Amino acid sequence: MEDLIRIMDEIRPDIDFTKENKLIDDGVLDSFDIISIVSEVNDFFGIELNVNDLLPENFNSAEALFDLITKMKSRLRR
Amino acid sequence: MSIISFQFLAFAVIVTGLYFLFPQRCRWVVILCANVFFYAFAGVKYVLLVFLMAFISYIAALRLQKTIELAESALPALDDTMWGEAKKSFLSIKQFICGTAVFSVAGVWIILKYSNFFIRNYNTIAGKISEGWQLPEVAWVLPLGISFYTFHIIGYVVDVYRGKYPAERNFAKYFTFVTFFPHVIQGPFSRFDILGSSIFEPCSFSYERLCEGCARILWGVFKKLLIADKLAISVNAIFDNYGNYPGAYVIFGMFAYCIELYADFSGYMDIVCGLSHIWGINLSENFRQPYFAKSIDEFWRRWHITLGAWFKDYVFYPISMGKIGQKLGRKARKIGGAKMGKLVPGYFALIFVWTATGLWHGANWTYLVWGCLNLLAIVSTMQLADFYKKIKTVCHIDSESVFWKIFCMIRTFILVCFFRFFSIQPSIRIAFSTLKHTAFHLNIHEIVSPGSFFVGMESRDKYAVVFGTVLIFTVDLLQEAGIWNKIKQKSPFILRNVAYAAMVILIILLSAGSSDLTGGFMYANF
Repeated sequence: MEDLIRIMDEIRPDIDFTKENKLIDDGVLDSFDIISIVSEVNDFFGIELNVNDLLPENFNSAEALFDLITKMKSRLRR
Repeated sequence: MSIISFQFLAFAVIVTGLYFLFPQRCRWVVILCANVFFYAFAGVKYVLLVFLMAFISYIAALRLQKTIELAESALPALDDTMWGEAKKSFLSIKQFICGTAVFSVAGVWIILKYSNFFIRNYNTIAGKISEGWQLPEVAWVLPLGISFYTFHIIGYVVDVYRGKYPAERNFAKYFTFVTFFPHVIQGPFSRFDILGSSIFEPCSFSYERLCEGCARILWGVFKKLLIADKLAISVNAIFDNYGNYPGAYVIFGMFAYCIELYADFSGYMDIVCGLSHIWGINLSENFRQPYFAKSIDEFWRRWHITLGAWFKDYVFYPISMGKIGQKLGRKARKIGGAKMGKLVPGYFALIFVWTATGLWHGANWTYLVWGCLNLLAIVSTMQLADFYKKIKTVCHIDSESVFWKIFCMIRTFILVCFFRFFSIQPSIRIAFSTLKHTAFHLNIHEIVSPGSFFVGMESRDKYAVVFGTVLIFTVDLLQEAGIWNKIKQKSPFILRNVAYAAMVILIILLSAGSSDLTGGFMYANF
């Protein structure tokens, strides 16, 4: 989780990702932030988040995104 | 059938009556029949075309759903060696089905909408080689709303492919969504999961909704007839014969066209959203006070919102997150650092988005220029953000001050008007010729009075347009401040009804006998 927060902080240092839980619903992240986060997350965690995963419930908070990453990693492991 | 006509009024009243007479569960059938009737009114052959396109996508979505279900049941039972291969196979099948459906539907639309554009461009090149090589243009009439329902269909197939929601098994229900007559002519772009649940869920009659819906319809008709249709007289007169007027008139025409387009398009939205609201069906909002935007980027998040959202979901993200987009991002990060790594995949996708947006609006190079200008404005704003920040610091400009915000709004409005000027021109050559005339023959001294800008308009129409524009601006200002709904709710019953009555009287008095009362909407041509 710390790694994910660090990645997100590097992209948008002005946001407190530990507290914010309406990143998409409130329009806090724009589309350029999202594609940047996806790219960094894919590289760092070795997963393949794609356009199908771009649902508000997956990107509204760092925690939700971390859950998605965990799920994808467990799928990869099998 | 024009939406601004007594025919449509009678049609809407009958549909609404039948809608509430039917049992709640079957009300969508009334909507389906109304859709088919409305569409058949424009031409029976057009119903057959939309039926065919809807049927292709319906079958494709069912096949996609079957593949998804099969994958979900088969994959968990496979061992690790088989799992990866099987997953790839299922993905290939899904991609094939989705691709075939999207290209079939989009292909029909492209052929019908862009054949003459391709032929004209081919002829320009071929004509330079030999006259005999030229092709005759086709005489097809663009089917009503094809640019809109094609996008509805593509969105639906891609959503099912992505597993966002399951495919609809009832073709009649799916066809009701595709042909839903309030959104089929010029949007808003709807999503099946959102609009579908609104159409098919039982909803009881509400007197409050009826009043709200009628008020909104009235506001839409007011905008269309008293502002858009009146301004169109001057805008067309100026641009059709720009050489006869001082350049200052062309500048006025640019601004007037933007007001006309807003009154026209948002007026239409008010009418269809109001009508749907009476039935308890919620259409997505397409506008959020667009002329209060402080940048072109923000403007496009406030103007034709559903088109922007469509392009974001089905063009921008797939391209920027695709293999090429991500590869470009990694290279850019290595060369230009984190910031470039973040921006380049987006820029790459925006080229496709704005080319498509331009050509979607019209099969003409002028629309492509308009799209490129928007792209340039958005990219330069993002690319030069740090530079602008430094300038603001050096010049001691407070970004949060009211004066700066107003300056940004005016600047954005001027840019929007200038960009749109290209989209209204018949060709790029004429656009530049008009600009040249404007620059070299400004002739401000020839302007007799401010009223003389309103070319071809009667005196009473000029007052109607000015009054209507001020009224729209005031309503938008109150909406922007977030107090419009409170004012509406708290205003006395009598005052509200007097305002509605005044609008009806103004519409009857000022639109009666007008030769320009065609009821045609500008976006319906796109």
